[in-house]
Parts: sequence; structure tokens; C-alpha cells
Amino acid sequence: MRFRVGTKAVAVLGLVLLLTGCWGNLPVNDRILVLCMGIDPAKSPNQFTVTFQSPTPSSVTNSSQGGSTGSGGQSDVFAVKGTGQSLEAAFNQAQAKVSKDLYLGQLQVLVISNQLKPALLKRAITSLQSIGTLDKTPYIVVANGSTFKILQQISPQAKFPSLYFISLFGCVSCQTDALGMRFWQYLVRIDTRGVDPYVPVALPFSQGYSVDRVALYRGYHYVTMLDPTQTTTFGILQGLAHKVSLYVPKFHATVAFLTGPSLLTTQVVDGQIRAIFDVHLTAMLMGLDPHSETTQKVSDISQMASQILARRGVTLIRQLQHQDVDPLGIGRMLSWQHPGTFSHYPHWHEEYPKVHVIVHCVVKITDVGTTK
Amino acid sequence: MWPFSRHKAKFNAKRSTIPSHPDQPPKSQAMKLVETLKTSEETLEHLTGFDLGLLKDLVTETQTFSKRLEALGLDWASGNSSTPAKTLDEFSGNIEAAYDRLKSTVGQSPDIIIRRFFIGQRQQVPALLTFVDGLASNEMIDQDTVTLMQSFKGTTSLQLNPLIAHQIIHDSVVSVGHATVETKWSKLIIDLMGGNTIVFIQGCPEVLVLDTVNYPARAIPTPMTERAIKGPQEAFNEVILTQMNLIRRRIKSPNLHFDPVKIGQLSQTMVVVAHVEGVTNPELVMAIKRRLASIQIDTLVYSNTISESLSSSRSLFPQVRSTERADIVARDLSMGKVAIMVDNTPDVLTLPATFIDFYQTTDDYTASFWEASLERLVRLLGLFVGLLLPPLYIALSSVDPELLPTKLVITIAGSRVGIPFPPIFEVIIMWTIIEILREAAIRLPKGLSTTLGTVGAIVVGTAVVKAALVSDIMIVIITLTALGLFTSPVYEMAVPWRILFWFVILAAYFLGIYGIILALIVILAHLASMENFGVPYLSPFGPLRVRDLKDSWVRFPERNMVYRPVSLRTVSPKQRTRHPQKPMVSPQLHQAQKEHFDNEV
Amino acid sequence: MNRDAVERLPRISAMQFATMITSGYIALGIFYFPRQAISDAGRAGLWSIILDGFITWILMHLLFRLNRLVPNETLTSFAPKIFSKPVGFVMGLYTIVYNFMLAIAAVTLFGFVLGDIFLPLTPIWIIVGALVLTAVYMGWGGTTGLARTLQAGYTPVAILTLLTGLATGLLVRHPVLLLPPENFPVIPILHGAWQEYVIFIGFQLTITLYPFIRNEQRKQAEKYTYIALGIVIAALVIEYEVMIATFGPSYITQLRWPLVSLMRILSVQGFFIDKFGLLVVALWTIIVAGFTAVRLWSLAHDTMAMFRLKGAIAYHIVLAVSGLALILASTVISNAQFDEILNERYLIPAGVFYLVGIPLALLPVAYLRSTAVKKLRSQTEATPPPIG
Repeated sequence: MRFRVGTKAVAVLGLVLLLTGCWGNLPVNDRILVLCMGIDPAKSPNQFTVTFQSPTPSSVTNSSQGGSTGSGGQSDVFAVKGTGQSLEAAFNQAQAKVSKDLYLGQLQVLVISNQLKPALLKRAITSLQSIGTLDKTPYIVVANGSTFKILQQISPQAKFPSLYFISLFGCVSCQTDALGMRFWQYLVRIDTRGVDPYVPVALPFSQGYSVDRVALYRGYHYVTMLDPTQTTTFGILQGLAHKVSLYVPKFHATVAFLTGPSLLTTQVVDGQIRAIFDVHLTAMLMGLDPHSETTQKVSDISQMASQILARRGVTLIRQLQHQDVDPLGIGRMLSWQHPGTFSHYPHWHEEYPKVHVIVHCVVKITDVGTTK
Repeated sequence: MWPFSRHKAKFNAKRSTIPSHPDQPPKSQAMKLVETLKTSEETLEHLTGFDLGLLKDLVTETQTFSKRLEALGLDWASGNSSTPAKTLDEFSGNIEAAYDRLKSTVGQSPDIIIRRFFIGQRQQVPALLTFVDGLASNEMIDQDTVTLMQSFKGTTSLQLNPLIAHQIIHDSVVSVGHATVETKWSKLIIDLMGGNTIVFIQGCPEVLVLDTVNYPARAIPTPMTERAIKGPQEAFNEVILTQMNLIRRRIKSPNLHFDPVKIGQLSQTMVVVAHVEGVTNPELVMAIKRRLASIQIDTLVYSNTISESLSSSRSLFPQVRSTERADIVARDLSMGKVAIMVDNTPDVLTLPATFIDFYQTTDDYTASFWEASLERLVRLLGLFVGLLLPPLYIALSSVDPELLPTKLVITIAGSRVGIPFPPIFEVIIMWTIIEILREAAIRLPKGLSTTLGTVGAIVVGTAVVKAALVSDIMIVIITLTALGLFTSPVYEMAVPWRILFWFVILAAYFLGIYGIILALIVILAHLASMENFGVPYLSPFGPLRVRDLKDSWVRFPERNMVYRPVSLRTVSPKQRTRHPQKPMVSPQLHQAQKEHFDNEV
Repeated sequence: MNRDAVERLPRISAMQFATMITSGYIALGIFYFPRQAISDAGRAGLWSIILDGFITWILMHLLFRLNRLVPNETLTSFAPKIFSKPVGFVMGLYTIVYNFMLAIAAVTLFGFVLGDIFLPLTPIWIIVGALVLTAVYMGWGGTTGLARTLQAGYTPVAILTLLTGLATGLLVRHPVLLLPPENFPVIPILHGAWQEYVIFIGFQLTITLYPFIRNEQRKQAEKYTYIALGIVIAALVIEYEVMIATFGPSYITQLRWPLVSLMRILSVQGFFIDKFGLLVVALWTIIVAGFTAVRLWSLAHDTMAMFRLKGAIAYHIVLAVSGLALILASTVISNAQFDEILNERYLIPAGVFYLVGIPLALLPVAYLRSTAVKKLRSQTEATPPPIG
């Protein structure tokens, strides 16, 4: 008899517990899955506006039934904004505007505006790091101006912006340069001396986004944005180039699919720091008339291409040194290879412009293009 | 039942074994009691006018009892003169007494046939024959017993030597193959109930027990619950003799022992303990026999009844494997296990069983080791799917959605839009439907159950989704779960998982993935701490027995399985002696063919 | 025939012993690894790890020697007989408290890790409570049950973690950092080794567990434990290298639980669970539960040996009470920072003092009183149970 009462009590208790929906138990459809998050400076100083973008319920239903894209001109995503002095305050304000739980565990893309003041950016990044459920795998992207434009822009290629960016950065060999940066990589660069973060820039246009530039930061300071050619050169120097092509005007030929590693070494010669980039690229030769193709010509083209790329590289690094921003991590490499020398410089940014940079570039043509 | 009658029955039983005092014949007292009762009944009826059924019952009982006492008295009295040290339990040699005694006890039920006849034609010796109609072969009784006895011509010798009359009949009359001699009533009655024919001869205190057993039995059936694609298709039927025969056919060594034990005060069920001497650990056999001997029950009808007594803990998990396949029993015996057969149950128990035993079956040994390994891994996968899929769904969709890929989260969220219940109630709804369908499908006649399956699968499945009670992903999950849990070749193994499933579900609901892992640890700890007859249940995984892993979730080629399971601690550990040389690896076929042709030409 | 010794049968095998010992030390420090070493010694922190391994090997050797003195008795029961009773009592008490503190540190740490990552809304005491109850259940089946559970559950997870650790090699961004560090800053390395020693302080379990090894497998058990230690050190070195070449030394010092962070960035595209590393972190539950179970087991046995309690019921009561006490005590630790301070300030010094002090104190005394020890050993020698 006592046993039966006990069993009943346990059963009732269990049922009560089940019905309370305790602790973290909340089905996904009762959460707002924030897939993208944008951080902008607010109008009032020292505050920022955070945009939480998530798919609309109807688009979610459609996507689960494998349905068609575009539900009659209606947007597939909606965004909630919150403003506050801290990220948490902004989050709370946004949460007050929606009926369900704003859930950050599925955040895929973090968009930051290049207009964010360093102090604000630092505060935002610090707050983001302390969210336990947010792992540091989302991609980070810079918006030129307001992030809201990017978050509202829909690409016909993917249902949600986040999915577009996931597939873009997820496929390393699909892009010109694999410059996708995950949040943790960004944090590593922020926290390591002698290297500065770079973040890919997404520019919205009518058909989607173009991602062919990078924004350079000195710590949390936004410095500049590289143009597409410079970005390509930057990619080559980082060893991340994949689908770069180069037109060699003298021979009217194109060297395509330039790809290969880049090795950075530092040396200290008579107190002078030298940074040497050894870039080994393989490429495919295209657009050359097969009748006029000779071994000599191919080797000339490859030499010419190497020279052009080396020159571009040196020019880019000079510019970076001039702007005192080190996204290539010359200081970091020095600290690894010559920790003694590096520790002599309390302020690396004073030394960095004086570094003597050499770029060795070898383009090896492995394939002479199409056969007729 | 009237309480007095029980007391009397006890009294009767006591009397049948203990010698009573000769100077107090019980007859007069019993008759007095009956008379008193009758008078009082009449008086009462007259006085009250009530229906006195109970009292009538008492009167009838008392009458029967008095008759029984009379018969006992007669039997006892007639034997008293020849042999003084006799008990009531022994047959006196008096046919009439025997007749009365039988008639007043078992003879009241219609299936007991008691027949008086004479041996011989001229000088007739009275005899009595009794058997259970239906359990004994009529042909054997007619042709091999009664006919021969009635036409026996040497009855003089019977009359001259009544004390060895049974021997004469045994030696030169009856042609039944197996005949024994018994004197005790308590044994005789059990023999009779077992289908034997019992022959009493006037003047002879020894009774002939003729083996005319002919049970109404099924033919050897094909396995129904443990089906196999290849391999032998013989299952046990209910007759223990057939069971023994089926095993004996597979293990012909004289080392195969069948040790009978009788269990059950009422049922007197024959239980046979089988083992292979020189392989099975004798300590194990002794322990099992002791455990069996300690079982004190009235009736043993199902083998499952003793399987509980043979398990060491009240765990959810079966610790004794029961199988209907003869080949599995033979295999287990040769591995060093003990098999227990219970009469009238077609399931033979083999023990000690380990966890992995419940995932091994005939197909694993009749197919190539590749296929067998694949099948075993599929069973493991089925176990994982069946146990973990709904908990994982609950955990990942409600507690830890961050673990899922974005696209999948969106798909799940989309399928759940508009569903009023949390995932756990979806699981409860679907599981209830599945369990009801399953139970109904077993109970219904075969033709209907197919229809029911279709109804369940299509109608309920689609209707539930259409009604937006359950999401469509849940249908997929529950279907896989229901199938996954039954991939175990032994049906009993699905049961613990079906119960523990809820434990894992709750854990997942409260603590997500973490809860699932904790629940799995608890289950693992439970399995690992179990031991039956000194054999760890989770062997060969914990304790790790590398040698035995060859026949666990993968099956190695036969030639690699040199040893018997280590955990069984067999007396001879090797089951296969290695043959390093391969005789006739490449026979000279070509040469032989050529020579043959040359000879012909 | 000694009754105690016979009652202790059935015993555990050599491999089970090694599994139990290994599960008894790695869980606590693994979460901090290798932050302290790197923040002290930079890239040269690798030498701290290797040094720690070497020191552990020496201490293990000493402890085994100690155990071999009276192989059938735990330290808590034979120390009072060699020393005086009060000293033995203090030693036993120290062992018990120390075990308890280690268990608290481990369960709260894991509670914080899980609460941070998986269950942000669940109270920590629920997480810890569930873990401790699981650990108590693991220990419920006695020594053999626990050993078997660990063998069947811990080993696969350890192997999976090892494989995942190798898979994290794919994350390596700066292969330059894989080269072994060339500098040897002695003081920072030593300091790093001291702070990192929290990984190993748990192996004092040997002194309680040693008598449970089957007599004939003792040598083998020692060998397996050394091998397991070798594997642990190799795994740590690999993870160290992977982590430093992925994050760079500066970032690691910023991380609270570097190994967890590393696991969290490991993802598998196109699988049901794409954050595979996180799943592995969840699977570490068994490692922590194993650690806790082993601690509770040791706690229960030491308590029973000290107060001369016997029998399964006493064991179960002590086990359950220790579990409840553990849950209650863990609520005292309010945050992860405090847990770390507890480790650094108290547990490491107490552990090292214990691990170094016990052999250093006992071995010479045992040498001096060798006749008494011999007598004790022959007294406690177990006679095998009669056959039949």
C-alpha cells in the first residue's frame, strides 16, 4: 500500500515537472533562432544598436516542406532591433519586442559596422565572448555603413542571408580568396600581439552580396578597406588564394587559378628586421594561341606573372606599413621565431613600419589550358 | 470451497503415508458422522427453509471421504496378513481394494479408465488395468497388453507363484517395449498421470507400469519467434522427450548429460538439466541444480517461472536466454553452458547468459562472417536508434539546439510550427499509439492483424500529422524507434529497452544531451554490476575479454574463434584445435583430369 | 586464513586497475590544460607538461613500492599498525578529506562547464546533483562493478576523445608553432609544472586500490598503469601542440577552459550534429562521472577502513552519505573562479605534500620496522577460497 502511494506521488510529481517545462527546455519552434546579428553605432553616442535577424515562421514552414523560395514578395527574414549602452541592454530591448525567446545558439553570421568606434566595438566583442551558448564559430563580416542593409538584403541563391554566408565561407575553393573569418579567429588576432585582424566586407547589391574586399583593423580601430585587387594580393600573401587570375598584357595571356602556399619567415640582420614572403603558386595558362605556344614563352609568362605579383605584394605591404596595420602577422612571426628580439620592442607598432620586406614569388604553370 | 473439506483432504494425505492403527477401523466413525450430518441437514431444512447447498456439499464430501477410507482400509487389511511391515502407501495385491481405491480417488474423473479383466482363458487370474484416456496409446493397450494377456495360456504358473506374477507377465506376455515395476501408490498415480498404463495382478503386490505414453503433441514445428534465413528450421515442441531427442541428435557424445528433476507439488513437472561433461564447469552445473532444488512451488507450467528463480537480481534485463531453436541450445551446450528443459514448454532455457548472447542468433553462424558482422552491427545500430532517437530528438530540439546544423534546425522548427505539444508529448502520443497497435496486432487473428498494420501505419500515421497533433519528423523517428528496438533476435531483450526508453526520455527532457549521457552511464553501470552464476553480464566488454570480443558486435571467421567464452570458465577452454597445415590446399585437378582422359583413350 | 582478505575477493584485473587509476586523475586538470603552463612559460610550457609526467612516474614508482610492503591492505588500514594509531588516524583523515575536496573541485568545475555551454538556465546544483547521483550508482555495484563500468564506458570515450584530439589537428593554422620550443626558462617551467600538476594529483588512488588487484596480476597492473600514464602524457603533448598551433600562445592564456574552447570550434559539415566537438565535451561526462565515482569509492573504502566498518550495507550507506555530502558541499563553491583558486591554492600543495610525503615518511619507517611489516604482510595474505 505504501509502495503504491509512493509510486503515485512520484508519477504526479513527474507529470507536474513535465508540464512546467522546466529550465532550459524550450522547443525550437518556441524560440526565435537568431541566425545573423548586426552591430551598429546608435545615434546617441556611446550606444549601439543590435539587429537580430531570424527567419519568419512561414519561411521556416516552407523550407521544411521543401517548398519554393520567395513567398510572394514577402521577406523570408525579419529583424528586431535593440539599442543600449551594452550588448545585454540592447538584447533586452529587442527581446521585449518579440513574443518568443531570442536564441543565440544558432548564430551563424556576425556583422559589424565599420563605423563602430573602437571602444564600442571592444565592449561588444567582450560581451559576445561571455555568452556561454554562443560558441565562437560564427563568421564575422564587416558592413560598409549600416549593417541593416546587409541583413535585409536577400540573395536569390539562398533563402536566408546566413545560409548564403555559410555556403560562401564554408566552401574554401569556391572563392577567389578564402578570406572567411570565424569569430574565434578574429579573437585570436585581437588578443595576439603583432598581428591585426582583417574582416571580409560584404557589400549588398541588387542580386545579393559581393564579398571581394577586406577591412583592416588596428586592434579595434577601423583603418581601411582594401580594393579587390589589393585583396587578391593580400590573399596570395596569406596563402589563401584559390581562384585568382592575372592578365599578362605583354603576351595577351591569362594566368588563372593561381593557388599555393605562402611562407613567411623573419630574420634579424644587424638589428634590422627582415620579413621574407616565399610564395609558391601553381597556375593554369589560358587564352594563349596553341600554335604560338612554346616552352620558352610559357616560362616567360610565368616569370612575368611572378614579377607582377611580387611587385604588387611589396606595394601592398608598403602601404600597410605606412598605415601601420599588420594583418599579415609579421610581428607575430617575429615573436615566434625570434622571441628575444620581439620582446625588446614594447611597442611593436613603432617598429613595424621599419621592417624590410622581401617578396619572393614563383608562379609555376602546370597546365597550359584548353586543347582545341 | 468448504473449509472443512480442505482439512479432511489433509487428513487423507497424511493417512496415505502413515500407518494407521489397526484396532480403530475408521469406517464406523465416518458413517456416524454422515448420518449425523444428514439428520441435521434435514432438520435445518425443515426449520429454516433455506437452500443448504454448502451443507449438501459437505455431506457429499464426507461420503466420498468415507468411501476412500473404506478402500484404504480394505487395501490395508488385505495386505496385512502377508507382509506385516506394510504402509498404506503400498499396494496390497488385492485387486478389489485397488479398484476401490482408484475409483474413490482419481477414478472419479472421466479421463481415467479403470478396467477389470482376467488373464488367461481357462484358469482366469483377475487383473486390473488403468490408464489415462488420451495420454496413453490405445493401440498399445489393446493389442500389446489386453489381447495378449487375455489369450495367455500359462496362467497356472501365475496362480502358483502370485508374488512373481508380474515378472512372468513382463517376461512373456506384454509386448510393450518399456515396462517397469512399482509398488508405491504415490509413484503409481504420478506414472499413471504421465500416460503410463498400470496393470495390477491379483495376489501380486508389485505393479507393472507399462510405458504406453503417447502424448497429444505437435509435430516438430518451424521456429516462429526466432526465425532464420538459413540453417536448421527445427524448433522444440512441448514434449520434453522430443526436446531431448532434438539435442541428442546434434550432440552425440556420451558426455551429454540429461539430469531430471521434478518440480511442482501439484504439477510434478519434469525438468531436465542438460550439460556436456568435460566442457561445462561442474561448479556451474551443481549451482544450477541446487538452485532448482530450492524451488518450492505447486505448479510449474511455464519455463519462465523457473527462469526468475535462476536470475540473481530483479533486473529488467533477462539473465536467462530462452530459445525455441534446437541448434542454439546445442551450440550453447557445446560452448559450456547449461540448458534447462521444462516439460510442456517449448522454450528451453540456456544459462548463464550474457548481454551479448541476446544479440547472437543462428543466422550469424550460417552466414559468412562478413554478413554476420554486418548483421550484428545493424543490431547494435538498431539498439542505438531505438533507444536514443526520440531522446536525442527531444534533447536537440528542445534543450540543446545549438548542436544541430542550421538547416536541420530550421527543418525541425518548420515541421513543428502549429503543433500544440512539446516534443515529449509528441513522443508519448506516438509511442502509445505504437504500443496499442503492437499489442492489438499480437492478440488479433492473423488475417486481421495485417489489416490493422495497414490501418495503423497509413491511417493513423497520416491522420495524426494532418490533425497537427504530431510533427511529420516524429513519425519517422517513432517508426525507426519501434523497428530498431526489435532488431534483437531474442524478443525478451526488447522489453528492458522499451522500459528504459522512458528513463532516457525523461533524462533528455530535463538535462538534454547531458541527461542522455548520464542515463546511459546509469544503464551501463547497472549492466556492468550484474552477474549471474558468477558470469559477468557485460562480458566481454566489462570485464574486457579481448578473446571473446571476436564473437561480439563483429564475428570473426570461424577459424579464429579457437576458444570457448572465457567468462564461462569452461573445463576445456579450447573448442577448436588449430591446424597449421592446410591439407590439399590446391588439389591437382588438372593432373587428375588429364590422367582420367588418358586412361579412357 | 584472514577473513578480511577473503571477503575482499572477487578482485579486479590489471587492466581494470589501470583504467580506474587513470580515470582517477585526469578529469580535474584537463579543463584548465594548458593555460597555466603557457601563461607561465609561454611556448616552453611543453616542458612543464613533460616534467609533470616524469615526476608522476617517479612518485607512482614510490607509491607502488609502498603498496608492495603490505599488498593486501590499504594504506589507511596498515599505516596505524606501522606508525602509531594517532598518526595513522591523521593520515587516514587526511586521505578522506583530500579525496572529498578533489571530488568537490571536479564536480563543480564540470557543473560550471556544462552550465555555461549546454544548460545555461539549469541551476548548477541540479547538474552537479545528477552527476554525483550517477557516480554513486556507478560505485553501488562495488569495486568490480565500478571497474567493469569504467572498462566498458570510460575506455571507449577516452579513445574517442583521443581520436577527436587527433582530428583537431585539422584546425592547426600555424605549423611553425608545432616545432618544439628551443628555450628553457627554468623558473617559469617549474612554476608552470607546479600549477599544471592539478592534472596528476588524483593518482594517490593507488594506495587504496592496490589491494584489490588479483595477486598474480600485480606486476602487470603496475606495468599497465605506467603505460596508461605514457598514453596520457602523449595525448597531453599532442593536444598541447595542436592547441598552441591553432590558437597561438597569447590567446590560450585568455581562455578559461582552453581544451573545451578547442573542442567547440571543431565542427563536422553535413552530419546530424555539426558541432561534433561539443558532443565530445558532453561525452566527457563519463570521464568526470568516472572520476567522481572512483573518488567516492575510495572515500567509502577509506572511511570504512578507518572506522572498521564491514559489509555491503555499510558500504552503501557510506557511499550514499558521501554523495549527498558532496552535493551539499559543492553548493558552497559559487563560481568557476573560486573553483580554480581552490585548485591552485589548496589542492595542488595538499596533493603534492601527500604524494611526496607519504612515501618519504613510510618507506624509511617500514625499512626500520621490517619485521613488523613482514608479520603484517603474512597476516593479511589471502588464502584462496576453497574449491567446491
